[in-house]
Amino acid sequence: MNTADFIVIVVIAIIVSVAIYKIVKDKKRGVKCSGCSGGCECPDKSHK
Amino acid sequence: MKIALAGNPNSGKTTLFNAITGKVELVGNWPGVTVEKKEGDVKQSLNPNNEDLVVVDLPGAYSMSPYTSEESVTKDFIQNEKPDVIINIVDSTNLNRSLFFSTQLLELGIPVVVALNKSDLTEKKGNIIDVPALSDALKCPVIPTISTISENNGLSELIDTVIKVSKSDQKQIAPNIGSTTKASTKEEFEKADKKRFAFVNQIVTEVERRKISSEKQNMQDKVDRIVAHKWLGIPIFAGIIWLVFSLSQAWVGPWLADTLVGWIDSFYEVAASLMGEEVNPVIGALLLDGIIGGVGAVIGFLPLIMVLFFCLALLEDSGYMARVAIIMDRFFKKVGLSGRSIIPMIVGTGCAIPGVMATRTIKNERQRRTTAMLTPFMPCGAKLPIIALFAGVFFGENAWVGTSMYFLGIIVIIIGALIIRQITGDFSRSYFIMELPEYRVPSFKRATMTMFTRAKAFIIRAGTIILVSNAVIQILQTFDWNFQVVAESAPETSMLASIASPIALLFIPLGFGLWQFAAAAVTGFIAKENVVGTLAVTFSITNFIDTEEFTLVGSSTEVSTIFGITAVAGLSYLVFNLFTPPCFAAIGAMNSELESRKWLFGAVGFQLGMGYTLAFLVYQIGTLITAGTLGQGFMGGMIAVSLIVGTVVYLMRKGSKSTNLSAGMEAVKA
Repeated sequence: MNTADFIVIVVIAIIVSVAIYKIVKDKKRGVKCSGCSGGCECPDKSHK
Repeated sequence: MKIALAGNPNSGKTTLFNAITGKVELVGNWPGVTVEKKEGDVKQSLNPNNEDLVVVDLPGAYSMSPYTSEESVTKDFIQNEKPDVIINIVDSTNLNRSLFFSTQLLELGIPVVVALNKSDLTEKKGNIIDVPALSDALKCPVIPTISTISENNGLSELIDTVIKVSKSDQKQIAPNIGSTTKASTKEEFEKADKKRFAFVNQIVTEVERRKISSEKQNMQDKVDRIVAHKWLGIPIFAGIIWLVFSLSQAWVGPWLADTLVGWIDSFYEVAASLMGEEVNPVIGALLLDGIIGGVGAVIGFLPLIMVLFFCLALLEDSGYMARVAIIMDRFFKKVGLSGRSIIPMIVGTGCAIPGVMATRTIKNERQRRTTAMLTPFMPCGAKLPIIALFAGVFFGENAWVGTSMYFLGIIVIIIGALIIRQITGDFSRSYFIMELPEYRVPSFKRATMTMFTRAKAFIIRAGTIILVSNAVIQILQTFDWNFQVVAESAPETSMLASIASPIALLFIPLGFGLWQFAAAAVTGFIAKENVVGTLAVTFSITNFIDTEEFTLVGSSTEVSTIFGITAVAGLSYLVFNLFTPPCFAAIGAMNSELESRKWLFGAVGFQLGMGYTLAFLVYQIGTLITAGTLGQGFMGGMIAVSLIVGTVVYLMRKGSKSTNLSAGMEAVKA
């Protein structure tokens, strides 16, 4: 594996990690789907 | 300080909430858009002293005695959480109806400030409200507001008054209506309500001068006689939806998409040139084809979706969509639903989740569950890229595809409701009364805000769920089970192909028995946009789709040739993806609203059966018409469909029998 491969892998890892972080963060906030359209809040949020 | 926004449905609470908090919550020109409370801070421009002001937007309610579940949200919040001040939003164009709830709020012992909303419309109608006299009669401050404009809207005065009232030592005294608060029995409540109505009528007579008599037919009534006509209403609705899909997917949308796809293409080229020849092709393909290509294929459809949402938002804002509920009520009533059910379905065209949640406005439990179960059949925003892709690839003049899928959704809902009514054996009927909002010139600003909110949501989904899914799909199709890179000539040896191939066997009778289609259909359950992303990744459509031509950029090979299926099979695949269960998040929302595992499993099973049967019929009948022979796997498909239909018929007969039995028992008891 050369340096270029390593850099691309790091870039991919960062992109995927950020996406997963956002999904997990939204789940913790109670949002059922990331970026749920219709501007909806989580269905369960108000029951907490 | 906690400020509650309370008022009748469609009095403009959420519009006022958005105006004072700067948030962009979903609004609609019909009753029942908000079904949950929403919180936000008062924005800086209205709160220069940075006081701690939290505003809570509550679902609309006609009275403090709960009727539907969203009304109980309002009642519970006000009674249990005791806000510091209540802003009672009163629709100034309909003072008589609004003040009943106001008088109940005034008796709670919580300071109330009345926001006399839609003051501009009242003025336009030539009606005059004596604001100081109204304030004297209600014994609380009354501030005229217009929450749809940004200046001279009365909001600053409203917030100042709220702060003043909350800090005042003087307790607000409710107007003396009589012994309405001591009521405990039904008769006492009815008596109290009569007193309250008489009090409100007296106030309205004293403070309001109406220019136009409500008995006289006005322009709105004339328009409604045509638009909401029992026969003319349907073709007008079909024409409008066709126009919306034409604008979105044939006229304006592709023209805008062409520019966006060009940018994505340039970004792809830049990324490819930066990597050069040095990067391992497998690693490079993961970034270029899996992540950039897969996400880009989905994002390419964003302009089409934005145009569609913009048009739908204009229609909603004009008040037309509320008329659709009236038009559909006649059909829905015959199958055990009512026009109430159309509102969640219209909301569901944006996203199935708020659509399913909006079913809370339906009181009848069977109707509510049936609507929650059937709402996902309406094509939501996430399904639009699939419609646009298949309409574009297989059907040149594509606006009719989207329109027919929209109406097929309504037909499937009607058939579904009929089946569910038979299965449950509940033949109760309900009557639909809805206060029609007035027609108004739709606001381009509101429509633009709605469009951008939904576009943002679409981009977030593309950058999260779709991105991760496409990366996983790319890895699964690059390697075999020994973690060796799959040879280009043998893609069927990949992990993805070996997982999807057995599923693909089930799809042979539907015309798309290829592992790529099976994989895309399965990833569609994570998020429906994934169908397009996965197809792009698995068919290596790395150069993006030119939305004008639906051909590969830089190549003459058409996407339909790469897909390797007929146009009829393409339509069948589209139908399958639209009418099988929605994404997992929407299934989760169904779970919350159905409140029954039995109903949930029944709903998912029903949706799977419906999607499979419809796709089978489309492919086999379509192939018979176009090729003169039945399609592949007819016998196998026929057995599967017979099993599905047989199960449904058995359950329907069982439901009818149990109803007859209980009716018989009732007769014997009598």
